[in-house]
Amino acid sequence: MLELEGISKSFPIRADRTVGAAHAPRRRPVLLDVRGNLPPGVTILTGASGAGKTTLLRVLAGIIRPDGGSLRYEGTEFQPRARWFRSCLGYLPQRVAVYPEMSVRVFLAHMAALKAMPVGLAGRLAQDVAGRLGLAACLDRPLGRISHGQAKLACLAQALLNDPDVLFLDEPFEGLDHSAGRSVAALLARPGRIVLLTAHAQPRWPLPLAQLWLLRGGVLERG
Amino acid sequence: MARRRRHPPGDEERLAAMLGFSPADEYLGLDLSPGETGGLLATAETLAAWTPEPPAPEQQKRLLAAAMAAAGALAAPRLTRPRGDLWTVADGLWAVLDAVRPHVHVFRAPFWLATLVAVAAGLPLLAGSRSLGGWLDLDFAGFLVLMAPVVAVGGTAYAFRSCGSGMAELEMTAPLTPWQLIAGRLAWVLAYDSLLLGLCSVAAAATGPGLALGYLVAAWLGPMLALALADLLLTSILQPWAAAGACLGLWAGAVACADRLPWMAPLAAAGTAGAFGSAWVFAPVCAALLAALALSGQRLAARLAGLAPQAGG
Repeated sequence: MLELEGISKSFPIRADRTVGAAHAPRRRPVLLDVRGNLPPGVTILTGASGAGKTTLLRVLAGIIRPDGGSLRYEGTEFQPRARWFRSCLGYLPQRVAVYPEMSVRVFLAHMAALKAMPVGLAGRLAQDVAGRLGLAACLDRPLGRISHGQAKLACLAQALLNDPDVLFLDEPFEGLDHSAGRSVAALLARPGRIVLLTAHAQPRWPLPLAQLWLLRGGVLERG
Repeated sequence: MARRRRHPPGDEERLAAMLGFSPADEYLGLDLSPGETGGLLATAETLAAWTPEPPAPEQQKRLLAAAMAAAGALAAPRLTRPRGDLWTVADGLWAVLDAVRPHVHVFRAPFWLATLVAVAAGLPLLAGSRSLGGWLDLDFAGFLVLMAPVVAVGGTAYAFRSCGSGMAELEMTAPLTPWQLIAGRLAWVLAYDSLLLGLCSVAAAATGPGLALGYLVAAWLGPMLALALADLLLTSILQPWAAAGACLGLWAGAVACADRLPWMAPLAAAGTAGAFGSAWVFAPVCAALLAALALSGQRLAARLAGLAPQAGG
């Protein structure tokens, strides 16, 4: 169980030099007081564009620091930047940006090396995950020469490479065709794994859905 | 001789068995009364029958989290080698290799080749210049001093080319601190450039009359480190290639004004004793740049992850 306690985050607003703007707020709050529990299974985080879904995932993944609040994993407070948490974390950013000259195989090897996985094991797991996601045929093709959907699958493959206990996925089904989406859904389901994914609509594929969260006005409303 | 007191039959034997003594011995060295023996026996039997209660759910959770934290640390295997009692140079080298190993895939063949070509191109260029009457007033030692910052700045920009993209965001979720990531990549660039320029320096010192290898290396090492660090610092403000352009512009300006800037003497006196003293000017510059990098750490880390301060959504 991952517990979120009063997570808040605001961002500075660019200086407005117009007359009368002296008393305008200088920070824009995105997350006000996010509280909730993430049990094993899939939690879908939804909300309007700009509601703060990506910000919440970045805070949970330790990419940006929250202004306040705390996180607990199995009852123990922790920092998302902690090495042990990163070791059991899989993350998919919203923007699919990769090194275009790298092949899918080298990209997965690169991410496995950053995750401190042994070379031999990483190679076998990369082959396995890529095969399950339908990437086996393009393992040796540069990422810049495969489709956007395939690049997204490669990013998903790296998130799953270390068989993580916690997965944060930002729009994982966007741009995927039906069969790829089904493969991804099948790979996400694993007993005991906590998955938080953002989506604008409920995915069409069978998922071990634990709960649905709606982010509105900087706070969570359970669906 | 003390008279032994009479005990209820079997009490002594049972107590001795529970305490692990032979019934024939005067156990504990005490002369116990029947009441004392009975009390001690009752206490021992109570303790033997006691079963500890299982931990409360909260305690279980804490224990589980602590175990998972330990397992998480174990799940990140690192290169290991048997360690002796002393921290040896080999251990240090191994630790450095372990730290830089994850970044090897970032550097593709074009990087190695481009750096090699940039340095190797100097030879025909200088030879051509001499055959055309020496329109390029530079020897090979001077060329190395001139090129060292260029290849280092180019390499740094290449190493951090993912800055500001989703790729960098992905890399920042790896179990590495931002500083490990930055230092690992910078180490590859500087190590390769140093090796390449070092080999060229050996060749230059062997063929150039009056050139000392140590002085020559000192002449290009300072500018190389300073410009690479300046490039990294500017990356916290500008895009990587824009930062590289700004640094190279700065270097070009310094070279153009070399005659009027006393700290640019290494360029003119590369490989001679005069260059060695002048090259030390770059040591405080590098120290100041490192301090500035340390101060801008958070901003640089955010930039590398591709996050502008106004990021949201």
